[in-house]
Amino acid sequence: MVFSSMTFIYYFLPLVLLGYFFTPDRFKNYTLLFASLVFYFVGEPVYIVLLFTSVGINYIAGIQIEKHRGMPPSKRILAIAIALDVLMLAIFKYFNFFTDNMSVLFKTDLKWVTIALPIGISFYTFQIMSYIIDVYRGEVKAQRNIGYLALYVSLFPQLIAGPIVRYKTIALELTSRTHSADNFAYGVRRFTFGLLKKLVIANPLGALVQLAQFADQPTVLFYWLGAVSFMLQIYFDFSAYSDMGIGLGRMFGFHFLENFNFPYVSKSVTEFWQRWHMSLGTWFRDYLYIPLGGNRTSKLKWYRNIAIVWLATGFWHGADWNFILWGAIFGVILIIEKHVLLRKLEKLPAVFRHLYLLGVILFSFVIFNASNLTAAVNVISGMLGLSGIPLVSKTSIYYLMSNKFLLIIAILFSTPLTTMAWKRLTTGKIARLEPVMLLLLLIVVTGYLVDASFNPFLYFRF
Amino acid sequence: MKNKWIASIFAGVLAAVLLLNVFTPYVQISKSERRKLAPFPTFTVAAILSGNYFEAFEKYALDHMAFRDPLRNLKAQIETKFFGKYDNNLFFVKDGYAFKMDRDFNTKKYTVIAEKIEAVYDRYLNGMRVYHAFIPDKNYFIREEGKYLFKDYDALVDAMNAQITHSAYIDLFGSLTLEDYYKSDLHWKQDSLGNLMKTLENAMNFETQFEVSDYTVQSLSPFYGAYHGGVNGLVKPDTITYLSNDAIQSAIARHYSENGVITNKPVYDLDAFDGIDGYDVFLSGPTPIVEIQNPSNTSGKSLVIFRDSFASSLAPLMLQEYSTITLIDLRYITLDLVGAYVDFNLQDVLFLTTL
Repeated sequence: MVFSSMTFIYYFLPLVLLGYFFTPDRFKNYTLLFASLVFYFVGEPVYIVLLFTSVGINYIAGIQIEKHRGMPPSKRILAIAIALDVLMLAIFKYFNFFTDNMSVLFKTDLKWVTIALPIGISFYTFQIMSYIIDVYRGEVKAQRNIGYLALYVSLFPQLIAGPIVRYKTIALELTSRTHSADNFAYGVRRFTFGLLKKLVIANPLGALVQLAQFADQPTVLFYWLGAVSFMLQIYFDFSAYSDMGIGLGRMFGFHFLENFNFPYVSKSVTEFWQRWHMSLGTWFRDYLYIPLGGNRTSKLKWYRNIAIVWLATGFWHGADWNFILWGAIFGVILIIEKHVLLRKLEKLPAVFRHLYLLGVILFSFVIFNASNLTAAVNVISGMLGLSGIPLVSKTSIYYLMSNKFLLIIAILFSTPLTTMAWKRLTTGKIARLEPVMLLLLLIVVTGYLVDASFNPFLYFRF
Repeated sequence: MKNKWIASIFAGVLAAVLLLNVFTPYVQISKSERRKLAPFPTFTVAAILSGNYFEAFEKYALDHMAFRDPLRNLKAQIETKFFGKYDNNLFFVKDGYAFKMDRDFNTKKYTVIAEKIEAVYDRYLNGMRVYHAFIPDKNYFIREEGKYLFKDYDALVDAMNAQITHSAYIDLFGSLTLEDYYKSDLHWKQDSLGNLMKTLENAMNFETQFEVSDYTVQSLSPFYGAYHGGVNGLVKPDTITYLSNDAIQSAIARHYSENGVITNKPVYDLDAFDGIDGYDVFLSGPTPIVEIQNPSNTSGKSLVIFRDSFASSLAPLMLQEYSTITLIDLRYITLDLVGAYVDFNLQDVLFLTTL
């Protein structure tokens, strides 16, 4: 089940809201847990077992770590728990990658079994690892109620596509949270805007990406149209899901941290990664980069730490070489920026710094979106006019002109301008009309929903 | 206070839509979209565990959403008027007519048709009077409109005619106008085929002449054409007008199926109008071979039309000239099998295909 589906919006959600708000407070968590497990079961009826396994392992580990705090066993238990968590992720996400590459390396067929990727495994594995590490560090108490721990891991607003919620940010809210019209209304706003970003902007951009990628006659223009559209699509797709997750969480009284902060207004790659998928970036910073020594070490080790983090970041996104390359490129650029480029960039006018960042991100997402490295090279060659293809065609011009307003609106929406405009609109003289405006937006997104048959989230494969 | 309104309206809308969706009577067919709507999925353990049940439920939920048509209409309006898109899923509206853009300009798709015509001639038609004609689709009549993507009709016709050597070409392009077509459908209107019939009469040396006044005009509505769902209701439904006379009413359409079963139906199958495609009123819709026997015409003249769906509404008007008209649709029967059902022997032959 995805948020932007009829089943979720007009069947699952009203039933869950009804059940939740009519349940006595002391049982609300169990209602939400049940709903979350049903939500996951609908998408993964078989692999829900992995979710239970992950919760079970880390529940026991958390209690044992706390029991043996300050003694050697607690570190061993932590290591075992993390090893099991990583092993589960390695098997179900990376096994096929491993066997494919071993087959190529040893020129034989080692692909005796293909393992399907369970939905959301990257997200909930990282969440449960953050929990167990924070328990070990003494930053949180071990959760004694397995139901509450299961709820933290499986909470449907953030289960399958983030944000990666740290246990410590909602530990208190698991046992004591406020339900109010203000919270609910905030949630409605975020959820509705998320639906708008997904259905009205991201999905049409996705259609344009497909058109450009599979055009009968490739042109330079088509390649650029595809690249720009994908860069916008992935932002709107992913940030929309975060908006919806944050909004849904707030309806139930949970405050999740923001995951995107208008990354395309950044003026450097360093700044970009402080605004893009922030929950992942901070996870790697706190649980990998800093434990490795961060930048408080020799220069060589610092480079090593950056390389490890960025290779891991790339690999987290997908089990293929283009994702690893994508991560590695960012690692290299970040090192260059930290050493030399940032100081030079700061001397340039802002417009050039924006262009630099957008150029880097545009080409990086070409690599990210490619099915393999060869395809990535083909696209980049095409964009640079090195493939001997025509510059334009009637068809590519048609699709540029037909979608010009979509692209312009998407670019505007990717900046804080629209949020500021909405805020002004809804706190000004016509503030009282906000409920009606939100209702109209809901009707609009429903129109888009019924007109499309299927709209999977890009980040679903993680 | 405002937040209470937001919360209440949101919860209220969700609850109202859930109840509407659950209690609205089940509908099997969408007339406006011309298709069967997804059924409620069958609950089985296997379907649940495979995930198929939930996929099927989502399709069901989408298809049976309350106010589905107005919501789709709203989306089309926003796409075209707010976002200024030139088409909505390849469909667009111009001057009150719905069109579908053809994005595939691979001429091979059309030259294959020319090859097929030659193959049919070589196989069955040696020595017979053979004609071929191309029906322009609606887009032909707005091809000067610079905004959209169009086929190069002239180049296509030239390319195909260069390959067809055993057939006389009948140019129909000048015999039709946009107004001769339905607004919400790709087909032409039967009662607008006067000029086209004259062109065919002259080219094929008919002894009779078609006059609309010789027929009784009947109509059926509303007709939701093939493009109606594609433009999400931005074009009003049409009225099918069909021309009838004693000859047509006494004629019998014999439908041959591949297992050899022959079903007799009237030329105008009025029951079919209430099905998924109202255009099926003409000769009951797609069929591999249908032979129209016209007892009112004792001339013994026969016509074979290798055709697509356009010929279904044209053939009844040609009964004034022929005792028997056999329509063959090579999309539904292989060339080899045709000979098992049709005796090719001194008939007029017409290849009629849409560009």
